[in-house]
Amino acid sequence: MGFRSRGGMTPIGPDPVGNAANVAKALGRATDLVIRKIPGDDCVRGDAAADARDGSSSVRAVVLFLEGLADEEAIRRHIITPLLADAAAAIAHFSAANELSALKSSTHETLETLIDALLEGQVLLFADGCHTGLAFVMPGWSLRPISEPPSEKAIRGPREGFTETLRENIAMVRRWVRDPELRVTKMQIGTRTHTDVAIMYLGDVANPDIVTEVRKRLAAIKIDAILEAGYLEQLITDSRTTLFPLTQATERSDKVTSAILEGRVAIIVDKSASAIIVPTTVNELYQSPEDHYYDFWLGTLLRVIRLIGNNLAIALPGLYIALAAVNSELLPTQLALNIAASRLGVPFPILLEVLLVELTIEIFREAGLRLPSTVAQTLGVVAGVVLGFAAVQISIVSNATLIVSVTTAVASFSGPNFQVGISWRWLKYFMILGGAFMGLFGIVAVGCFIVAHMATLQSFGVSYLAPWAPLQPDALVDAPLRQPLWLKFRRHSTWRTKNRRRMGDTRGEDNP
Amino acid sequence: MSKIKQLLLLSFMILPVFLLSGCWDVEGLENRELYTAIAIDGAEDAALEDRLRVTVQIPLIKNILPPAAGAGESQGPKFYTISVNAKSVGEALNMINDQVSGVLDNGHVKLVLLQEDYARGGVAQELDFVTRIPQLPKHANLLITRQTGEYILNQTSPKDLLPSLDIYQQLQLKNSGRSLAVAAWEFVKKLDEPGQDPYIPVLEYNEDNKTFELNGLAAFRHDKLAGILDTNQTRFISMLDHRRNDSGLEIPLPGGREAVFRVVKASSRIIPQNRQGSNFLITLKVHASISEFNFARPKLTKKEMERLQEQAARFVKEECQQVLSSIQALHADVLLLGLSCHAKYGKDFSYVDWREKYGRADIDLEVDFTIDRGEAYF
Amino acid sequence: MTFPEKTSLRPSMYLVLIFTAIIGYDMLSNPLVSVKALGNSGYFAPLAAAVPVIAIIIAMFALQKRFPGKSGVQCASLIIGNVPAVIINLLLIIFWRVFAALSARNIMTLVSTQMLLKTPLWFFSTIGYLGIMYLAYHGIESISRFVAFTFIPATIIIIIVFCAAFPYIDIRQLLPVLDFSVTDLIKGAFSMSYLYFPLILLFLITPYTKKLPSARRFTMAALALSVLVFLIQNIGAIGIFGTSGLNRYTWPTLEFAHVINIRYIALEQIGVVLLTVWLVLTFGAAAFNYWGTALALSQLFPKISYKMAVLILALPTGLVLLLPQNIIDTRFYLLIFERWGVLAFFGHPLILWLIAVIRRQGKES
Repeated sequence: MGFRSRGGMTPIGPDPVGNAANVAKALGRATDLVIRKIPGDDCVRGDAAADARDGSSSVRAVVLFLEGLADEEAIRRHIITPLLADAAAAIAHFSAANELSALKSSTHETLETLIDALLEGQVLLFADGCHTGLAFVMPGWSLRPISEPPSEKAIRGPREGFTETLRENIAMVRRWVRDPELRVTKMQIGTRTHTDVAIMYLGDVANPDIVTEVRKRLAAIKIDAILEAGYLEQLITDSRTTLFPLTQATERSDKVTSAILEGRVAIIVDKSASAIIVPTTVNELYQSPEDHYYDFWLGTLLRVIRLIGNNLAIALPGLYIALAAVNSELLPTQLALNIAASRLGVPFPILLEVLLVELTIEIFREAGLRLPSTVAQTLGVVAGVVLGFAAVQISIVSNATLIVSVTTAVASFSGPNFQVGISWRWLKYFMILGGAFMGLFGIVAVGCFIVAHMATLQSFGVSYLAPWAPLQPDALVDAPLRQPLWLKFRRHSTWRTKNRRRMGDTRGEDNP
Repeated sequence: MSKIKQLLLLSFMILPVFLLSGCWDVEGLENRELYTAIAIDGAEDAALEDRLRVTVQIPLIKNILPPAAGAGESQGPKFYTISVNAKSVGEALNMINDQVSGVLDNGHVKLVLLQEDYARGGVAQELDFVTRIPQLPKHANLLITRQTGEYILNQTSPKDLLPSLDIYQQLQLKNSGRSLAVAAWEFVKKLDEPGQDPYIPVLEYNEDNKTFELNGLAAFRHDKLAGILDTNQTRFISMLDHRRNDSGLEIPLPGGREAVFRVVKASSRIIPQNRQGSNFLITLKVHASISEFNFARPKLTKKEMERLQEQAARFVKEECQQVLSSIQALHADVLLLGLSCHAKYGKDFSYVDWREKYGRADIDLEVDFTIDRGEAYF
Repeated sequence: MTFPEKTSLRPSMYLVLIFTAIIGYDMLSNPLVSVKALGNSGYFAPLAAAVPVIAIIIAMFALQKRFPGKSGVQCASLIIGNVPAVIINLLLIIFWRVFAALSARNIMTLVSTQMLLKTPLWFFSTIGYLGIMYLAYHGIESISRFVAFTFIPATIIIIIVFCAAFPYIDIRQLLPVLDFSVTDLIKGAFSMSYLYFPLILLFLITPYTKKLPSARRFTMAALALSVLVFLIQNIGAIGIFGTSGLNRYTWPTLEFAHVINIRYIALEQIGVVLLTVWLVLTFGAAAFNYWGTALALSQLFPKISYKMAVLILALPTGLVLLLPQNIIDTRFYLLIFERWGVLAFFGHPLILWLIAVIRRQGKES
């Protein structure tokens, strides 16, 4: 795609100035296009105007690059200076056997491919009398330093999050998996953005059908721009109408590595700090690689807490409404009386009250994401504590509702996956409506409907409810518990990997 | 999108429209009158058509939560009662529902009080509502009251609790020798089964101490109250009916001495001796721990302990025989001897005229008393 | 979806599907039937009813072996000819659907009584049935996943609730153990056989697995597990309420959960918990049943896909569901179907298999 898509296969002429002019014309005389002409040996040095009047024969070579994308210091040192010193020798050196050159370069025969390379941040070199052009990889755009992903914090474990640079992200994974079987395949997606997308997987582990399917779906995307990995997620997902994420997005390199080692496929997108992992199941969405950095007991406890937190986040407000307004006979009498007492004077019915508090918390949550950090903490106290206290004092909302809503809000952050937290937030409202209209039966009906919907979902051929449905006992021991590391001899059957054997005997001297 | 999918999607979009037309069963807790106790007395003028006087105790939710710290003010009353005269309990509940501002909620009934005199006339009809209303807890406790239920429900508890909850807590915590909690479903089941007679604990309000006391057991002959057993007799009934007994046992010893036992566990076995149900053997195994002697004798020798056990066994046997005679005299088969007979002989045993036969039956008792522990001194 | 809808079932799924189909049908009121036949020993009735059912299961698998890849509905035309097969199968499907609708009405009445007294029956029945249709529409794979997901927690909770009620049992009400005659036992077995009517679904799902012996073993395991649950449940109901006491209640199993009173538990009443958990199983069972009739109809009239059949059957099912006036009407009609169902659900596969054996039709090895 790119310039080529306009049907052009313009050959490169012998005149470097002419070639440069064509490139400038193709870019609409972009002001960030830098053209450096290298004068010929017989030219009067320094008289650029005379050179131009004299014509192209006085220009030995032309260097073009886009300001801000290429490293200007490296260009000056490695290209301009050698050219100015001895243009012929430098060009011969650049052209001959690229693999002997210290610079990574490629030779192109059409203008269109060179323009594509220029737009990727490469440096172009047209030489006088040459019908090919050289493109040098000399990236010079500013890089964000590697830091901990803000939405996936960890107590223990590496804090390397992906950045917006594809090659850096690939390198991060390569540093984990030093296995020749790690396959990296690149493609470009987006007619205008030509976004680089890399697929990473273990060649001797990942299911080839899944890999083929990933490639197929990515190749089938016809879109003008890919601005973030989220675009790809939406375009390759199995079901576009479900609110459950059928792909897993993460900014953590250890999570991606862990997934690749399990036999899954990772998709990394240039200019995006998120990577996509496929296939995924609902089980994966509340697990964190951090669970494996602790021992079995702590890891299991963390998972169980997360599971309880996730379920509370979905069901608590709906259950509260169902028990407080419809099926109150289930509540312990003292609790029922306390809730009734706390709701005295509240002018709204319980459904409206809960929705009001939930909406307020959602607004605070969104506002909190965008607040400057200096203000966030103060405003958090003001909004949360003062406003909540005042609302209870004047009986706009009751204490009980506030407790339930705040607990729900906090519980929704117990999962390690932010995206899943959003799905759960939607489900919470369905549960609220179900509980409000039909009490406990409504909760059951909505719950059954949710599970029924999840039962119809697949992610690249893998059941979304695996390993519970279909029952996979070998994988079930790792959900919701955390299987001890020294018992993880085989990969789970969920991902239908080629090679299920994971590790050898871990018995030491003490355990013969 | 296929047409069928469109249709499904459309129906899904229509769904919220008629969802908004509902909420038939929704009523906030603050709008519900959760009555926690109901008392059934006979109307003062029994000749009236409305022969029942039904009282319910409803918590005042505004006074339920404790006052804010530092407020200093005492709260008002925690409950109020409403009494109506009606032909049936269902009618009474409807009338009470009309009188209260909220919706009467049956889901938190803890106690059902039956006045003693009224209960002598039969209570099967009055207790029909207990199993008919699904929301009403089947494990609500039944109690016989010496005073009227209306009077009892209007008294306050010395603890800062709702009186009905206080009494209920007492029943649950001290489900032991002197008071045996009986759930409504248990009572009703025994009415349905042939030859089974229920019993219910007796509740009284002590005006001097201002406390609710559970004293004794009311034995029923089918659905009519036949007689009341005192607290001492109740303990032995609990042993014979292998209920938990935390109230202890005081065994009189020769020479005016006494041994006090606690943590008394008893298991009994009723062995019918013939198909007619005229002869029974009850074996009772009692295990207890010594709590105190009222004489200075901290350590017992083996021989002394065996003698003590024999004395205790003899005492328990005598008391149990007296209790058995009392309940036989009432023709109330509260220990379900008829059921034991049926369990052994099946269709060969007949429940016809069972209560009469039961009153004349010979019941032998064998008691085995074992002292498990002697507290710190053993 | 890129990956096409799969229609294969692992043999282990038979355990989950069949167990859910049986338990999700009538777990709450069957003690009423068992004590009528066998009195104190009513807990033997489900066990006695399960014995002849083993023969039916063997017959169904044997039929599948003779006609591999064909469901029972498809076999019928090969065994008895097209026209008789269409008539008999259509009658079976109508009978089955009406029976399922009446059973669903029974359950909806239960929900109405226990949870939603004022809400109109049509309202929450519609909501419930929409969900069931949605699941049935997506086929046996989705149904099996739903059932597999809910099976373990639901069964564990049900067994825990049953066990929590055991301290309230008076063992004397369960004695004497064998106080019945052979005639009583046969009558009891016949009257309780309706519990296993959902096994008709085997008729339709056997083509979806190639490992038939394994599937048969898992089906037997499901039957054994169901019998165990019925046994525990009848022991509980009879032991707590007695044979006469039971008759006071429309749903005795639910009532024996209601008697549980554990002081420190977070809920005031446990009965509704049992009901909600059982409703989850019922949802899966009803969807399975619905899909079964839809598939049968689509196999009878190949021009209709099972998805279309799901939609076609919606309105008639809804109408039948709303037809009875109250629980007494519902049980009256159900009793008729329970009696004739033995011929429809058990006789149909058994007779087909016998004819195939006598006429030596299909593969005999």
